[in-house]
Amino acid sequence: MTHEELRELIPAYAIDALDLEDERAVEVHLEACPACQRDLAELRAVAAELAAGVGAVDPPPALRGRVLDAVRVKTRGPIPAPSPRPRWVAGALAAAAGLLIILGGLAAYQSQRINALSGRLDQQDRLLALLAAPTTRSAQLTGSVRANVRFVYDRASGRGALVVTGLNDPGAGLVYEIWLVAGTQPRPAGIFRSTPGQPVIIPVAADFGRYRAVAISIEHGPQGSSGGPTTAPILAASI
Amino acid sequence: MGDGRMGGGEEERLLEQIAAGDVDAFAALYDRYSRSVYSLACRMLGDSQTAQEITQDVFEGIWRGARAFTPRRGNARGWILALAHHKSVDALRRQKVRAVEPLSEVQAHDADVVAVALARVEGEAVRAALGTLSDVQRTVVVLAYYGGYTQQEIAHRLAVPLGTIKTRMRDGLQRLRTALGGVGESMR
Repeated sequence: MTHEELRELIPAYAIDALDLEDERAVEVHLEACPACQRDLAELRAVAAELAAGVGAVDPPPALRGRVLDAVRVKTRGPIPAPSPRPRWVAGALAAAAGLLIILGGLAAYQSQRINALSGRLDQQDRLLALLAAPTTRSAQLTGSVRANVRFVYDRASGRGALVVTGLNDPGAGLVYEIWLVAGTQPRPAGIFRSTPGQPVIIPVAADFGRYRAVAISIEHGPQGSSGGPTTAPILAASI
Repeated sequence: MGDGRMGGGEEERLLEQIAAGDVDAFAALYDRYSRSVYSLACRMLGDSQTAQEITQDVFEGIWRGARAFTPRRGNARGWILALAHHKSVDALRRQKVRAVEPLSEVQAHDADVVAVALARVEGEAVRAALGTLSDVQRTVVVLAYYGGYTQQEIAHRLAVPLGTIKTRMRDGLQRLRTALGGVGESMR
């Protein structure tokens, strides 16, 4: 869509009257268009008056405690997801070390593939739209390694992304694998490698409402595991 | 408490503090805005339980998203109420998808839907401002804002071309802005 076409959508965007597709298109455009941002600012002021015009109803007093409690819990950090497979053998990691030399050559292939993925422009646009969407949530993954790994996701559109910085390379022949956890059968949601200082963004699309947690385990490259994680997750967050 | 209006960028300062993880600032913002947020959700959904869930969702969204607030797209009040409206519309649309359309809605004329929505508007200034709109502009603005309908749905319901709906919506909002005394003017 052209700037003019998108600008025509701003009034409807300001009062949430666009379908999902148009809404995303406007959000991406807004990132880079000061004129449309000004239009939106004016229209939001009008919308705020419409909001404030409804007859006031006092919320139940107990709601305040619930909202503040929820935020205090979040301040302490997300609760790590329970290990989906308690019987995972830590020894699998040691066994994996034996494969390092054989699989070493495949690491380069894997990182090329990931560069091609995250470099694609339309995916960057989607990530911008994802970050701009008011319904987007974010969860910080915590666990046994120090790294800044966030999972951003939007239940409404089913789009999400894992944003990774400061995570060490998993080791030659190994990859990180992302899992979406619901019940006992984790679903593979992508594989990646990482080098400290180089942020990696991995798009993840799913019906996030069906899952309780996102987790990362170390698997043999280049394909990772398809049947389920073979090592205990190093990072996890509830979603 | 009123409608949560504060002067001199106080809300913007609170959002900055919230972005830095200040729970007290968050509690202050809740005390200022919970009534407006809950009232809007309550009037749009007609259900206290859902309105409470939306309110909780909105404030958790503020807690997480305070860092993303940018004054370029309007002031803090506009941002918070836009978030409340967005979540309310989401909830309305989920209900519409899930439930079979209630008989009352099938039979009701849009004029009735608009009348019901308008009956929930109690603010004198907003009522008066809506009164300055033409009937067709008011119908479109009310169906969209309070009814949670997309512009496509409105075009379909009214059997009017989408382009006409867009024009009525834009002109209607523009006229509301004038009638409300040029709110948001300072952003220019």
